[in-house]
Amino acid sequence: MELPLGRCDDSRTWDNDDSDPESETDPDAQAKAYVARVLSPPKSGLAFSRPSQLSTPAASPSASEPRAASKVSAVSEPGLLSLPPELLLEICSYLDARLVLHVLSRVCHALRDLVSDHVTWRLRALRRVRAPYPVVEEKNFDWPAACIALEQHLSRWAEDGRWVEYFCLADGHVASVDSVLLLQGGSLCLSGSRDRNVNLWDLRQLGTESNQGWVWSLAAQDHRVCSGSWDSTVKLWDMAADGQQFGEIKASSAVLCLSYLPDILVTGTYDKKVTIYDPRAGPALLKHQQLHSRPVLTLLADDRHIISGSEDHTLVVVDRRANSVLQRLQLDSYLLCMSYQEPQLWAGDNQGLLHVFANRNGCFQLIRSFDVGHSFPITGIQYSVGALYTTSTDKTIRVHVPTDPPRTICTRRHDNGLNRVCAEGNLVVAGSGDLSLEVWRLQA
Amino acid sequence: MPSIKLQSSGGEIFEVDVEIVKQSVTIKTILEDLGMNDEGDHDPVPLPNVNAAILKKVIQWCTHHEDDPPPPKVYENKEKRTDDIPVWDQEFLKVDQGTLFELNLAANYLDIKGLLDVTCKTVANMVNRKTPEEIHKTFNLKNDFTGPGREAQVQQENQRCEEK
Repeated sequence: MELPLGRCDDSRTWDNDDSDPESETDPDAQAKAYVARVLSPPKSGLAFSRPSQLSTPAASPSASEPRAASKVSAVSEPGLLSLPPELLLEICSYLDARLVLHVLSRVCHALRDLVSDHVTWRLRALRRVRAPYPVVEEKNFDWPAACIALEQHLSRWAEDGRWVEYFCLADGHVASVDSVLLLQGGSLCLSGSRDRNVNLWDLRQLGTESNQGWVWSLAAQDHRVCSGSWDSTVKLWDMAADGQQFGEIKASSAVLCLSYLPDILVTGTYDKKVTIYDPRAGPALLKHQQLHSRPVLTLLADDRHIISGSEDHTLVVVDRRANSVLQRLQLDSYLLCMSYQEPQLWAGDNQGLLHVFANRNGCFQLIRSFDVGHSFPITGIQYSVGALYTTSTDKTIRVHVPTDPPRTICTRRHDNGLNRVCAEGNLVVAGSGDLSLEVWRLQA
Repeated sequence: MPSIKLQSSGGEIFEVDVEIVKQSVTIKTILEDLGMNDEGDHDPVPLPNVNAAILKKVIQWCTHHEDDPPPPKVYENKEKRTDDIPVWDQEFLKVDQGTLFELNLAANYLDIKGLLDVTCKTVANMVNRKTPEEIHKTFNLKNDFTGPGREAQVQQENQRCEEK
């Protein structure tokens, strides 16, 4: 037996004595035309592709005409599903994105079709950010995931970060903290310092490992961590084996930046080289190249490219498969930090500006440059689809929404310059020049 | 004070203050388009999409909210909240679901932003924090994901969403 759509406890019925469509000069026709024009739902994809067994004609795509609801004689009162799509979406806009995506999609076909439409999510995201987004267009952009990420970011930092817990961990280092890294979804933190130590932080314990030089860079692959130091070494530690060191690389000069992948470990060094090692065997040196004319300050690698930024004002892209330099981009400044989520590469430079490069078919192009208010070198950047963090020697960490241009939603000042930033799970950490580890814990 | 006549779908006439009824952008536009702003006896404005009972409630809402400041045109990235429904509106909307949805539809058709917002928020509050089963129950909806094959497919798809 079919259940009625809405509750039928009231014997009120819709009036069915509406006359036939009136002439065009009629105010009612004018009103209808106005409603149809101004309140019509967005163009593509909002039609219910599979109306549920119980859906009434009111749930059809032409529901920009609310009149349709009143023509239903089978159901005496409207239920939730008799509301036109634009009203259902208006109601959804008051609900958490995850509830809309995961819970409503399990209620019935009609709601599932409504919430699985990517146009719906694109509109929702754009309504929240009210700025061009994303900065780099891409096909098959995951709008539901982006929406969820953006809303989470905005709600975590709402009211100028009122709900963010702040911790200053000041007794771990005796010198400037120059590198930070979060592991295991944010429950562990590594910090590297000019006091030559790498510290492991969690809620209960502090562990200390030693280097001879300032620990300038940190990178991790699963439970394996590597630290690069001014003493020209890279040390590899296994967090799953109690932090034991399992490897060491003697580099040719101070290691300024690292990238650690399952199959390679790449270092950028003071002597202008980019060197590739196999971390599993040895580690063994595979290849080194002098790609720059000045120290290599920042590095990124994935399975296709190795991207290096140097004080020589260039960005070099090496194609790993072809094993050759693909591009050499000349810039007006030099890059100090990079963060990459395909296809967007965000970088901070020594003049306090942000640059966005787009990976278009394997080729990187500078798309935009932004001034987000840092007047000094940008030491750290972390970009994800819903959030952007930057730190600078201007003693601030800034929290932005990655739109075009980025909108800053929160700024936190510190007494000293901030170096590096890392955000993972619900934690954001930055190293500071005055020995402390700055930690912000966000609502989950 | 000038008044206007509104006619519900059933033919019933309601005489209402013009200023009160202008909260409906739809009606306001009709009046402006037809030059019905001046005094005199005019034909009633027909509203075939709204029945008498609902029109009465809409007029009641508009009368209470007559002196509200006009809503801002563009919302500056306002976090959408549902806990700020005025007490009077909460009481006003303590009605059966059918009436609530009819008010929602009427507010949409008549383009009364304030009423549209509070009715949407009220419905959102009924959905919020519920599981699919509870939503079925609240709104008397049928779970049409039936059959073993279909359900497994739906579960798979949902899992994929959640894993992201």
